[in-house]
Amino acid sequence: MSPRDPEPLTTRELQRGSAEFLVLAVLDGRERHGYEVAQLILSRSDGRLHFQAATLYPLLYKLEKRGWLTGRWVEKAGERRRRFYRLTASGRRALGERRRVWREFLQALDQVGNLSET
Amino acid sequence: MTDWRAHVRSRLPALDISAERETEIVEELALQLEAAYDAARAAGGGHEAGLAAAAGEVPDWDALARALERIERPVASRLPAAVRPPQQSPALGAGQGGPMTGLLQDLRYAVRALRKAPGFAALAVTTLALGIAATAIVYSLVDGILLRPLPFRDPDRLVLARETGNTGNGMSLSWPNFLDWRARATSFEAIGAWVGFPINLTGTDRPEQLASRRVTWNIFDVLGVRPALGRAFVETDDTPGAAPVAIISDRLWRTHFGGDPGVLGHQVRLDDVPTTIVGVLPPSFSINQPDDVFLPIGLLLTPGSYRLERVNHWGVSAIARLRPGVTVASARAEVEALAAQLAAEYPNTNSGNGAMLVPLHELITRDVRPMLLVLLASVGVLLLIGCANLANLMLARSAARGQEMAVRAALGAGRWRVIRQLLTESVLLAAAGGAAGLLLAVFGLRAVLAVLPATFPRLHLVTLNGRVLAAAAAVSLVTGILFGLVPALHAAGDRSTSLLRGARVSGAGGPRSFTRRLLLVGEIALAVVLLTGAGLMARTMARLLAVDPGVRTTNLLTAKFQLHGQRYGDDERLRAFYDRADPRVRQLPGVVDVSFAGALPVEDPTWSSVFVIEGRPEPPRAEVPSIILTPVADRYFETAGLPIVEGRPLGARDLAGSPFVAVVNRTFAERYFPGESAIGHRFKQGWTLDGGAPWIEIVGVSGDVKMSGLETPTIIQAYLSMRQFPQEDVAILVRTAGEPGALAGAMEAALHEVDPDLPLFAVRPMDVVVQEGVGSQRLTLLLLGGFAAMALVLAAVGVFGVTAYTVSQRTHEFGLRMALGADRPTVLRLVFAEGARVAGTGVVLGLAGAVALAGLMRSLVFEVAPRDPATLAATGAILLAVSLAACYLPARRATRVDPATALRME
Repeated sequence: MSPRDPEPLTTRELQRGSAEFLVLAVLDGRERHGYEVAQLILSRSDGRLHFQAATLYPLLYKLEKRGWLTGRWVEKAGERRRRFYRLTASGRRALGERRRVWREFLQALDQVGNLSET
Repeated sequence: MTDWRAHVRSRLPALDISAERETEIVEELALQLEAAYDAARAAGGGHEAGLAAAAGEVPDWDALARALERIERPVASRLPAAVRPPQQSPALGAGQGGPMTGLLQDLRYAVRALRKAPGFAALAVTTLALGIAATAIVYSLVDGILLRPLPFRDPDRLVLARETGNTGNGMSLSWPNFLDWRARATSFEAIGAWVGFPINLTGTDRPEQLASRRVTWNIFDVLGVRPALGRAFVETDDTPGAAPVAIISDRLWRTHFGGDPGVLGHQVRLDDVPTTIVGVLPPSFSINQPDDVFLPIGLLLTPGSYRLERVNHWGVSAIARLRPGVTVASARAEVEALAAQLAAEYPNTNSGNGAMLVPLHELITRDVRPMLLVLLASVGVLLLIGCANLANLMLARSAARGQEMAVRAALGAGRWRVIRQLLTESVLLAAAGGAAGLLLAVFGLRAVLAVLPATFPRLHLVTLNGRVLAAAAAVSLVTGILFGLVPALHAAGDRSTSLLRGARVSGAGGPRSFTRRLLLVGEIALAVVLLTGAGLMARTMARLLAVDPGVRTTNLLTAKFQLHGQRYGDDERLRAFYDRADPRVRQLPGVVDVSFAGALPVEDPTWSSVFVIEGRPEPPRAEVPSIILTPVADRYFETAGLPIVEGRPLGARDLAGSPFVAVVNRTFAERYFPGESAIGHRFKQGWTLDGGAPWIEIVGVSGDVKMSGLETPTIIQAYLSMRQFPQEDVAILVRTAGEPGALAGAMEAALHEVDPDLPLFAVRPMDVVVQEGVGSQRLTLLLLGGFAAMALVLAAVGVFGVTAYTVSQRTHEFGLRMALGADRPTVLRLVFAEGARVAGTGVVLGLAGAVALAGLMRSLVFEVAPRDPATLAATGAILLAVSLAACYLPARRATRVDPATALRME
């Protein structure tokens, strides 16, 4: 009768969810290539969040498969061609949803853990 | 200068994707590694530092390759379906992979989720397996017996017509009446007749009795069936003195003639008469039981035969095909009018006789239809209970998984995905349950068929066939959706409940809890209905088995045989057989006594007739009473253990030439000779105006015997001397010192010493005869009882589960109460009150339902009212007791709550 524990995926999902959130967020409003995405996350987090290539590209490809991003190859004079990613309409919706969830989550953490005081 | 593409290519394992796509990926990774290298150099590091920075971008190339393959080849994706948010279109399967991809993922995920909860999965599959096995068994009975159309052309137009006696009960047609009906009726396109007549097949390795019918030559035209081999009967086959011909069943053709087409023209000895096989019927042909041989009826109708007399009703039924457009009701009206005409024309033989006409299919299934429908309804109820229970289990499970679901929902899994995921789980469970159930049904059906009496119609058509399998599969699917839908909708509804609310996604008072109690009330109510049905059948069975059949049934072996054919052509030869057989069986070790009779107790009597008593005013023909006449051999009363209450038994002194004598039963004596002795009075078969039947003197009075089923009131009966009324169709009764079955072989051998060609059939101890007489009630009790027991267990599990859940939800409240001074009895009372409220509501609703549905049971019960208050009360009490018992463990747990712990949890 007693049901088992919930799927232990929860933590991983949260991690994955946060990574997705970050990628979506830095692509909001602008087209960027992969290295730029990683750099932006690194700089905006004051060097705390480092996305390795091994994490970043699978994530980009997955979000692209999911239809939240589209990528296109762009050749500029004197540079090698690079792949630029931008949000699709459903990507923007997903980002909005995630912003709401994370806001609530942080608020809750704050209420419970008094984050602002520490 | 490093070639970064070569660098990546040399490290990244080959990907199982298109070369073009792989090149693109390599290019992007190379750019990133190069950028990392450049950045490290720009920050002042050397070449080594740059390489280290690039290497740091991909710590594990194999892991990266696996991740990339998972993403690029979606079918191989290991991502749990529920966390994968909808594609651009939220509709099923939009995007790559098609609908099957999502389904496969759901399935894989469901398998994994269930593997993590083996206890739940086992309970669910067992519940479903039992429910679906029960459904499959009952449905295969219903399918074979009720639903399968008769294997004839336009079977809806086939009707069976018979006469009715002055009591309104059906009886067979006399031959002259049949001829008149055939000549005068206009409702029928064609009309024929048949009479069931078991027949002895001899001249083979082992003599054998076969189910057989004598039919008019046109019967296959009436039914609309052509023989698969050979020819149908023609008119010249169907006259006295014609060369004997037979048409045989496909079964007999295969078992006895190896399916050889050369069987046509082959001669077999049937009742000692060489008979030529002229046709073989198609395999599908069957009426209500497997008949093996069909013979023309005309051979029996020799001039001067008693069968040609209008007064004799020897088993003939008319089978007719309605003209197109003629309704059953109008045809019935016509034969009733014909019966009235004939009664006016032949008052001596026909006054008081009416007619009945029913669709053939209805007639065949009439006796068993109510029982089968009750069983079908019961099995449906059982399945519903199972569904309610599983829905409750799923609800509890989904409550525990609330957070998991909430996370999935918040991360973008659509409501539809969550519903779909949970439904996939329940349908998967249902499919597993269905498969296990069908396996169980294979064995269950065998057991059920073994319990059913052989006289049950169309049993040979009952199999677990494709239709039953399809029905079981459909039921499994619907079951899965039924019990999965409520929890799934609840879980999807939780989407608005964000994960932030944490552990208390569903408190004891939430909507989910209400749903659970509602399901439980329904479950208990349905269990009450089933248990009432089972209770009524149990009481019926008890009443039936308490009925005294009138003879001592233990240590009594019985068997039947037929003294047909040339070698028993006259009364003298019949008597000679009894005289030779009796001592041979009697001298067997273990035999106490032996006798013969024209019919066995409990089974239907073979001979009944109107009669008159000497010296009494004769009632009009239409009001003459009817009596069962049973010829018996010497020592019948001693052998059967049937007491003689007055006068003497029949015996060796009652010879063929002496005055005719009879022993009558007590009911006869008390009805016709109240306050005086019946001894010395005389009666005779038939009606005075019929003429020549002899007067028979009553020399003894015996106890009453149930001659026509235990449930039928005792009918007046007279035992005649078998020397004076020799019989062709005979039962042998052997009183044994020990286990009667052990003597069966010796008895058969002894009889074969007298006639090696004599097939014995229905060799059974008398106990078994009685048991078979209540076979259909026994089956109903067995199945209903089984269903009710399962329902009871399910209800108990349901109560336990819901109570345990509620208690766990109220731990804090109980702790608080105890901290505030409530003692254990108070807490116990709280829990039991909750359980009693739910169980009480269920019981009241269930009793109301049982009362409302009582009409269904009316034709199945015996000496018990369908709304029997004792049964209803007992049922309600049992359900309440079981429910409260199921509350006990959770209630005890509630009293063990440590107040301090409970408070800390808050």
